[in-house]
Amino acid sequence: MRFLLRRLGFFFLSLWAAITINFILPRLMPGNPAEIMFAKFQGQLSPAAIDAMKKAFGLTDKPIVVQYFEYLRGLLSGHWGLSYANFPTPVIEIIRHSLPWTIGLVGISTVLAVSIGTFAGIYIAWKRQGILDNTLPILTMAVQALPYFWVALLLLFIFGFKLNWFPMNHGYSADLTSGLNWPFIASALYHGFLPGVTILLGSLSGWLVGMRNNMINTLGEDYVVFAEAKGVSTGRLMFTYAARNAILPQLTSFAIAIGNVVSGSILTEQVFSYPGIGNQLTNAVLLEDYPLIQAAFLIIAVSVLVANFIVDMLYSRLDPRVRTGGLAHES
Amino acid sequence: MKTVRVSSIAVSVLAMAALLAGCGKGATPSNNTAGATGPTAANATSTSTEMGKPLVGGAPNGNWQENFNPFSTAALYGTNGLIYQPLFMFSTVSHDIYPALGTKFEWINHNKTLEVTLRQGVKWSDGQPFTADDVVFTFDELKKYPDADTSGIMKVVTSVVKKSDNVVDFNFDAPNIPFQEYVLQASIVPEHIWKSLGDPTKVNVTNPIGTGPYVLESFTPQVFKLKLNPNFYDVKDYHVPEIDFNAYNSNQSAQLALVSGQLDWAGMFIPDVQKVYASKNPDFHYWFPPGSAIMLYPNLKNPILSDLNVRKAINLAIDRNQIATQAEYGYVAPLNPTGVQPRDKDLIAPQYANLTYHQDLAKAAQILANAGYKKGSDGILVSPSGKKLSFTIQVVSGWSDWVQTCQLIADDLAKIGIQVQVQQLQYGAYQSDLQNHNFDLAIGWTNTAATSYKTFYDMLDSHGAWNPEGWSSPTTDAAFNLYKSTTDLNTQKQAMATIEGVMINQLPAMPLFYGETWYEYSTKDYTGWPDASHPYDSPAIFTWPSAAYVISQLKPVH
Repeated sequence: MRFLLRRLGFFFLSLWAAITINFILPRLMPGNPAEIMFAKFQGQLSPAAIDAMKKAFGLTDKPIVVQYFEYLRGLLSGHWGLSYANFPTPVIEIIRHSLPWTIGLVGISTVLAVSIGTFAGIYIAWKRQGILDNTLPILTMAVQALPYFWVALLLLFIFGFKLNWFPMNHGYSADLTSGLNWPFIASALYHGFLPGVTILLGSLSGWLVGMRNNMINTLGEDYVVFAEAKGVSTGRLMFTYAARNAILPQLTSFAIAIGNVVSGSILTEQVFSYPGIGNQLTNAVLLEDYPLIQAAFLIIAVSVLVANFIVDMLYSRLDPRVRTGGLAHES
Repeated sequence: MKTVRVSSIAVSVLAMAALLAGCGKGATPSNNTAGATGPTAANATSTSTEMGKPLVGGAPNGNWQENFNPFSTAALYGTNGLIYQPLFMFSTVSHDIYPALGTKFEWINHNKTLEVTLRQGVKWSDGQPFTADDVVFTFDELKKYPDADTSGIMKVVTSVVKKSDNVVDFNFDAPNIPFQEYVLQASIVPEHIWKSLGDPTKVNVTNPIGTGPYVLESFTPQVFKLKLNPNFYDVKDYHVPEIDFNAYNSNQSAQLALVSGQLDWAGMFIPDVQKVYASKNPDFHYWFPPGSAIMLYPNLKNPILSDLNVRKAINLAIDRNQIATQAEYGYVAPLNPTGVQPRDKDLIAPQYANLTYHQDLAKAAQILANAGYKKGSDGILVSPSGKKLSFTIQVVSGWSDWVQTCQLIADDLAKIGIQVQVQQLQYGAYQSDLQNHNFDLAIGWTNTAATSYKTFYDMLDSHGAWNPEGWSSPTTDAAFNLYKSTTDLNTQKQAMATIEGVMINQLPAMPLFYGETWYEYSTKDYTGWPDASHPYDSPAIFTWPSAAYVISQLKPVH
């Protein structure tokens, strides 16, 4: 119980810090959104427009402390404001349209990468020095070492442009309206395949190599040798004895990866024109769209923190040492 | 595949820079008598005889956000021109003015009243009649909610009066002929809908009701579709049944879509466009008409740069040809040192018309030597007052052609002993530095408008909206006042000659090249596109309402 309270306290403290930094950072950027919008329209707007836009955006000269508390109140009451760059679209609207795509694409690819990587890691560690063990880690590392956007562009060029096997952009076919029906889901899967594969290829090796190395360490432990000597079945030995212990560091990485899902994969979304949040966030930063930046960062911060909290809890089930604070496992 | 340039934002910004308003003489009290066809379109459903396929346009600006609010600075493509219409549309590459909701305008009352005759028999897309009250209401909204008046119209126009059922008068304090562009090109909204909406800047319009040739068919963040409005008054002249606007997140993905033939129309930077795009298919074409000049701005508040000799030397030392070929891929038109864009070449005084730029390092060095600048031990010039000629040149990071231009300028200036460091800034910082005169040298745009008057007014008048160099002189202010108060072309030319003289002799800003308007199009399904031999309007998909006029000119291919 004390452990739970401590973790909860830590959770709220980090949340507050994240929210506060989220408020400060955009305001440290040079220039202000009204000026940037004004410049964007080069001559189409009169100088009076800067003041007009400042008023419309609600950019005030109020003391920063007052602004901070208004910001906190807005966050808690769910009023996240109107996007400056897409004025007057509410920020929540932009997020509602883009976040599900990102979670779907990056989330599924991440879960796939983790599962495939982990199981392959367990297998090749078990059959170490086998042909797969000698090729897979090197192969996946080579792919991961290539610049990510280059791999994405290459796949897009070959399979999208040259061979025409997959659509080159967008999250679903323009003829369909989004909804839970089979043609739409099929279209979304078809459109998501190439971007998903690039994300998978880009992250697979970390999971694979990490799991393999953990496994090899664990397989060398005395209790595994003992169990083997006692004639425990191969499957039980591989998963229940070795893998269960070797998987703990993977879990930490997984928490971080899941948290990062929300921030999207900016490059993927750019290359494949995927309607996700990463690209929205990039544009928001470039145009100093404070409300959108704040909302997006808030969601990212909260999801990283929540993912970490959940893994902390899971960890304490899987590895009692964490809970008792005995032999502290670094986490 | 190596096409990394500027973020999508930069592209869109450049794009807008490249054009926006444009031309239109501003001079002639135009008796524009284009077809007021009167009540037509009796039979709503039977439209034109020959219809083409849906027209597909695309832009690398990221997902669309649903917003068809003509008062918004973030309105979607087509909002101004296709859905809502202005009174007139000003071509930005020629001097044409095309009628829309107005059929005729003229300056009366000693050029202090702009009188507009409205088209009759026009209906809003919900069936309600369009009246002079809608026009008066629209401008009243701008007066009531200054936030919506981003062109500052109601600061110049004192009152808008319904003179009769189809005549509206715009009264001015003082003559301001070039300003007609802003008044006449403002989108008109229906009173019966907008009167209950409150502050128009805060309205998120998702079901737009306009008078224009198109209505909204469907919207998603990836693509939105407009379909032909069967009740439009000139519907018989339109042959494009549907327009799809596709969203792309990057130049690369938009470019692949374009090259694979998925797009009929785009407006983006493509390096080596002939090879990458035009050579792939005989139907693929491009045309990059020149817009207003891109300038090297010296900060005149800097004690060294305020010395005309230094500016003269800098101007002479820059090799514009190299910039045009290396940094701008040879896309740019030959540059006139007045900075007046080719569209308005008639406004260039005869004595300046044939000037060209030549790099002359020896002469540049000579000017500086004569003015008492001496080389220090490190080879860098020192001013008579003992200051080193060492500057930074500011540019937006990621705008790769501009960055390269700055690098070339730095190399050129090093040859005459002026040290220049290229400083790449994030857009907001750059913008803020230039507005606040917090820089040494900078590369920057000039504002685009329907008249050269506006471009130069913004840059050189002491009240100019985009005057980063900080030029202020009674002579230029007087010339601008002269220009705006007359409809007489010769007087306007005389005023421009004064301003051009300042540009040539005082070098408040140094033209580098004409900004290009990016425009790629396919003739597979449609012809009638503007091109170098038919420059009837701005061809760019991001320049509204000009793009709406382009669509009216398209004819299907059989």
